Amino acid sequence: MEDVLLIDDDVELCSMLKDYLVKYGFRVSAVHRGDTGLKAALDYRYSLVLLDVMLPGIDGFEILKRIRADSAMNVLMLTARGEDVDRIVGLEIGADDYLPKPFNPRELLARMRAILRRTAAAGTSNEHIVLRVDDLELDSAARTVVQNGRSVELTGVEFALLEVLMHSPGKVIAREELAEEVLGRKFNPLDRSLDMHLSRLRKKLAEGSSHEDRVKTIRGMGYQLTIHRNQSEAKD
Amino acid sequence: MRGLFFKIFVIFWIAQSLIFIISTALIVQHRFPGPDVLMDSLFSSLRNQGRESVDAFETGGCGSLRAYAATHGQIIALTDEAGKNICPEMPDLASGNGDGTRFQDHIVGRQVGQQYVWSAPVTSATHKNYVFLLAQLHSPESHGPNPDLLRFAFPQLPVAIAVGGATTFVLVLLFTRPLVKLRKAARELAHGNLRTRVTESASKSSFFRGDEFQALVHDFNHMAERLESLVGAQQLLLRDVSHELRSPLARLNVALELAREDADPDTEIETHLGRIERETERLSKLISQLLTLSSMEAMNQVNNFGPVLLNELIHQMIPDAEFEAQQRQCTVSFHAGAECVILGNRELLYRAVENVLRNAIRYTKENSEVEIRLAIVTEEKGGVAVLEISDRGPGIPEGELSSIFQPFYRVDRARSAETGGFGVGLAIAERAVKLHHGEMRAYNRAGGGTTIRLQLPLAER
Repeated sequence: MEDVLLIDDDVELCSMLKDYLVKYGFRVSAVHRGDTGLKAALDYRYSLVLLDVMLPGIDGFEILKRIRADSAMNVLMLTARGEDVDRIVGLEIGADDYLPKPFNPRELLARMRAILRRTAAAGTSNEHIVLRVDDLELDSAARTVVQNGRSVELTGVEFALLEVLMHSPGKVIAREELAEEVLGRKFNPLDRSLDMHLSRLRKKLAEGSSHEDRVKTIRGMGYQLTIHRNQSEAKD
Repeated sequence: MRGLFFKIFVIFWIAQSLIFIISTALIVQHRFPGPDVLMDSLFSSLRNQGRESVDAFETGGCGSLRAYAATHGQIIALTDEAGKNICPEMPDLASGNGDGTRFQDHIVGRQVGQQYVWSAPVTSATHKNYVFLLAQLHSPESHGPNPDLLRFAFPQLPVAIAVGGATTFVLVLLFTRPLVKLRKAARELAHGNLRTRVTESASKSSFFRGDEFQALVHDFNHMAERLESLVGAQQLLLRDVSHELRSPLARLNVALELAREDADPDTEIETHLGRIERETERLSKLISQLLTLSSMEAMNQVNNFGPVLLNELIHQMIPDAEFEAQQRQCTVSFHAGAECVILGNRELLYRAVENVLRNAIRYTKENSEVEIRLAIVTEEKGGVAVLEISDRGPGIPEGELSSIFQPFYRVDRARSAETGGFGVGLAIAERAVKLHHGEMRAYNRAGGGTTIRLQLPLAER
């Protein structure tokens, strides 16, 4: 049973979504105000938070910012459709994914599962893999990333992205491949979420490193993790 | 506007100059007697002298006539009707007088040698006819333009015309300058820039403030403001309605899914629910397009500017487009004449091109080809990327070619229901192209079909 927190001011929608998600094995708690929603999100470690943007009390972006201040909890934003600003801002602040309203519930389910799969992948894996590239060290079992001895706090998507990139450092990985492997869906040129996640990842990696730009964008092709020193991959 | 300026200036100046010339001429004529007046007085004095000399001759003969001539110091003579000199010792003024033999009943002047001779018929108290002849050394002035006019008007008239020209220039400038400003603003407004305002004259002097042109500028600004607020209100309404529709639609989606879960998949309910779902999806798509359009209309500038390679952008959308085209047994071909890099927002450009392309695929005939052509055209302002997307559809009536970019505009209402468009896609595309300072036009192709041409200024290298 996965615990899901639904923060949305549409009471009726919440009750229907609850009915729907329960059928697929989620335990859903619904909150209809921003301030109480934030409190609920900080009080208990949910597997996933479904967060609407327009909320009474505090808005969704603010809630996301406060959640991100002290945890990498999975957050899926339900944004306004047609407003590019909303979803870009959401991804910039660090949402794992977004879904424009009105959405198809099956699509919502698929996205929720993709997010949870990423988080769960490591836990169920028997192998304990530690990837090392230059000053970066990624432990897929413990889900930790250490850079120059300093731990880097990454969200689920960012972690998954870095993992894929670190598996083949120096190699250009196509956007299509990254989208399918990390986001769990087909690449869509209009979907900027991959870019946003990567730019957040880049920012976080740049904070503790002397190298500028660890993740390079190869125009029209994909992304590449640059190597500066020797690389190594260790298995214990 | 130069035309109007020139016209008003020339007409005013000519009119003013004519007024100056005519009034000067009138003054000259009034002040100086004209040639007719001179002649009249000359003739009457000739007649008087003729009568007096005839009197002198009749009373005292030739001696008395000579005495009369001596007192007046003039060269005179008298002839009879036949032109024969009465007093032979008097100068023969009649000779050389071509038709001196014939008696003339009016005064005639003739050049005889160096002299100018006037001959006036005189009838004496005894009813005898004579001809009085008077010689002058010089011919009288006049005949031809009166030189007094030019002499009188010389420095003043040209100066007056020049000053008139200068004042007319200033006057016309006062007229046309605000007109030029207004026209420019009106054109901007017509182009869709509803924020256009005419700057009201900041001149502090109360002389220029409050004239009709200032009032017109004020009214124009008022009109533009009203227009902006009305259009803004309409866009806001559209946006708000679309926004408000999202919540019920989201609920509908979930309710539908719940119903599907409970429905028996083998019954007819399932097909009904499938239909409802399709319609709901259409509705969602329409709302999302409307929201895209209204958010783009609220934009004045594209943000997230960056270099975008059009060739790559098009290559990216071709697989999906081909898939869509295959379902109608159509093909998509892309002919790239050049590499076009544009400074812009990738997403907006993608949307613009994709909407046009999808539209073409939707309308083209079965078993036909949709062509995409990309080329660079150099214009005076710099390089322009020209992207043409051509279909083999039914075409568009000539009169409606420019209207198809309006939201919800559809050429054939019956057809569009079957093709499943809303008529918002092209409006979105046009708005996106405009945000990139480009242009979008539609043409009918020879041999049937439509070409949509997108022109986008290239990024400067």
